[in-house]
Amino acid sequence: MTHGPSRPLARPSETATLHVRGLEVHYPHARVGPLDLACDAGLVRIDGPNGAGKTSLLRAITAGIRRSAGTVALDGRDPETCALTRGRIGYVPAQPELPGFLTIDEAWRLMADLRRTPTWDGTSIREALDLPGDLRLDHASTGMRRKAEVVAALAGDPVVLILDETLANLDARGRDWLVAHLEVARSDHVVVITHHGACPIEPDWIVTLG
Amino acid sequence: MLPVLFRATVPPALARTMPGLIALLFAVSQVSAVVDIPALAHELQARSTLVRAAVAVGIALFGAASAGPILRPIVWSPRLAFVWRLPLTDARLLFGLLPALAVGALPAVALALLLGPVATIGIGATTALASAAWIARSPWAGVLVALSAATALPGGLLVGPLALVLAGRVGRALRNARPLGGGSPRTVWVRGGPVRALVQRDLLALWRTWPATVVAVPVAVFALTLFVQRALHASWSPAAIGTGSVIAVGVFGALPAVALGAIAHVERGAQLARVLPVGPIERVAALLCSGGLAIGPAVAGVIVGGTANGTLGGVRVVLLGFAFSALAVRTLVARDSQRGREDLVSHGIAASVFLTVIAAASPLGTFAVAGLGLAATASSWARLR
Repeated sequence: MTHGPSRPLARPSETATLHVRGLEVHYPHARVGPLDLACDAGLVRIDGPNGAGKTSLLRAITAGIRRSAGTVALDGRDPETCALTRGRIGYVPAQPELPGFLTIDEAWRLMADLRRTPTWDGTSIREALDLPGDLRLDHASTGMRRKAEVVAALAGDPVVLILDETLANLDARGRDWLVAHLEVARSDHVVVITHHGACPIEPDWIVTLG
Repeated sequence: MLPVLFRATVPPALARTMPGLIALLFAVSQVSAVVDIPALAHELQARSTLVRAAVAVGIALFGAASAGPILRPIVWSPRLAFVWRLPLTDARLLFGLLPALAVGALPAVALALLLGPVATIGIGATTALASAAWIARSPWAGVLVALSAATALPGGLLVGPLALVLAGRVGRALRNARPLGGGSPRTVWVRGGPVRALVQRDLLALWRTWPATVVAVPVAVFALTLFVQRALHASWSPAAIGTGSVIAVGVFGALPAVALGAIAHVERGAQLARVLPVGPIERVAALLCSGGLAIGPAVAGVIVGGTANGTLGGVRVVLLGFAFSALAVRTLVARDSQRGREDLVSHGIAASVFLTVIAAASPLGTFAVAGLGLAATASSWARLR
């Protein structure tokens, strides 16, 4: 059974262009990258073996870690220095990062407020993913927490969606919903995913690392 | 198996206890310079039952506040989940956790040692029981807290054997401990801008992660401040209140840093802090609002006391408040999100406490600390940008 989005996806008032040039992250004994990307709408899948640096590079795009070389620009603005630009990027990390003491509803409300979209309502998405709103994140199962991170990443309808191995931990219902959502979103959003194994969604571009 | 328990529980307990212990030792040295604590304890024994009960409850809550928050994360740590699956009896389990419990109770025990051997035993039992009750959050919690207060009262040591009998039950309660807020948290999220969102998040962090501290510390502060003021002056004159309040700054002035340090833990391990779509002004504003709300009552009392003590007292309070905030913010932004250096928070708190005591001891120290606060602010700003 396939579940589509529970409501029409809100169209962003604008599309955005993501430019990544020569992005590298250096560690004491390793160096990942370079990564080059340039797209304004569509779905990019980043492939590579474990340790190739997929997560590090995605984190560097979201400004979660400092890049060692290269540039990242969303409509010409660097997420590392521009808070508003960071607000236009929705990110689902490989490991849960939202504070565990928040409930699921509080988590997406927090992210929506931080993105300056306090009227955004994630209830329908949360219900479509079969999540209770009053469950604390640190009491949720791994899959439920991952779904909660998805709702929080979608808060405010950011123009760039970055999903790090998100499809892997979802149940069939959650995976079907997310795939259907991304199929709609790719027409006017930049969607960047990583996924090992058979990917349930066909990318527009594939970038292979390592 | 017990050595494994020791290795697993004692180091994290020690790491969490040290800042509190340092704070207490400095604070006690500060107070003991102007108060004859053993004489005070003796005088207290002659007071009315109501006064003794109030002090006993204050000490019990102090013990719970110092040991409970230290032990709870250890008890609930996912890394120690294996402990609860071990085929151990309740008594052996409790025995395995005793070293960590003892480390967690060090601050209260240090205070007890200053008050005399009888009080040491009483406060030791008090601390253990009260902290176990806070940690376990079991139906036994109410009984244990009541028992803790009774143990701290003169003659209450007769309750000790009963406490030992209950030790096995305490162990079971610990093993069956459930995370707080298992039900539906009854809070309302007020929608708004980024600063309001961050403040709500931080206050929820304090309330849901350190509920015992939030509840117990202000009560304990109030009781012990009364204790000091009463000892210093026979009357409740404005001068007495002012002097007592300034001493309270030296003793409990670390509260703002502790609160902000606790908030800093929220961003623990999270690149989230860097990913959040908020700028440095909003982050600092939210942090100051959260810290101010969390410690509002204590700060208000200190400001009133400091002002009553004259202009210098008021200036000191303002400068100290600034220094606390600056150091706490610096501690927060110094955290290396890529390496998760959590120790910076506890070190920052310890440094704040150390500098506070120096500042409370001399006017020159006050201005020195304020200078450090200014440097910390500049450094924070540079880092946040």
